Amino acid sequence: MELGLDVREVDSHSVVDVKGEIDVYTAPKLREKLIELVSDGSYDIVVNLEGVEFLDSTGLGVLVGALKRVKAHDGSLSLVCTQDKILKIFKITGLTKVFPIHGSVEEAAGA
Amino acid sequence: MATVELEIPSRSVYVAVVRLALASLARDAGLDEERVDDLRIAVSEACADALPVHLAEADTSQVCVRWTEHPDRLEIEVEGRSSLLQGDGEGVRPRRDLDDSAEDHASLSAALLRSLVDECTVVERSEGGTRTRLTIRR
Repeated sequence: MELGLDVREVDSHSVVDVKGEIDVYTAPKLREKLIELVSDGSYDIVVNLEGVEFLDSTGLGVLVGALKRVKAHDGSLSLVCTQDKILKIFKITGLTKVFPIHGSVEEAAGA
Repeated sequence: MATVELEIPSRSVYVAVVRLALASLARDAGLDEERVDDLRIAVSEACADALPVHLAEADTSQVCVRWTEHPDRLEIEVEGRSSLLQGDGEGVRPRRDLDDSAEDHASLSAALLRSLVDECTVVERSEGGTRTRLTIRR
């Protein structure tokens, strides 16, 4: 099972396009990528979840950890998600109050 | 009463196999796609929790997943060694002895399990390890 992770720059934000399933097996790859970005000085990050087919608490934990890292540098981490089944996970866990969630990458990077 | 048993090596890569198999069984049992999605997440939470946290190279332990169709409910039991969750009766919750980071993760996992299935219990097995039981009413 592969997790696709592509990084691009949009309006001085690092956008991570995630594709595939984020679970206990693949979440460490996402964690490594986000840690790498912060280590390289990217403190304003957008994680695009539009290509994500599955997300569980291990994936949520990675996103929360990354948010703490960028906040330590006065940075930001926002999400792009319009899929009901993924949004539901954020609602159940109360994380809609923690992450800014946008309908498009452009909206997230411009916020 | 149909029963299906799956045994996977205690490695995270195999959790996706369990999700795939149980989603297929759930569709066959008549659950709609939204409830199948809920079940996939709940199964993933239970299996991830059952994996040993620090896996030795030579570890040969297995995680056993048992699917049972009853007339009024579907039951999924995951036997392994739960590291994050505990609880029966009052509902599933984080274990008491976790560090801050593990407790944060356990809280998210417990919230998902309490919401996505009708009942979730984690009990100690007399032979060692834990049994997590997920119940979905039909």
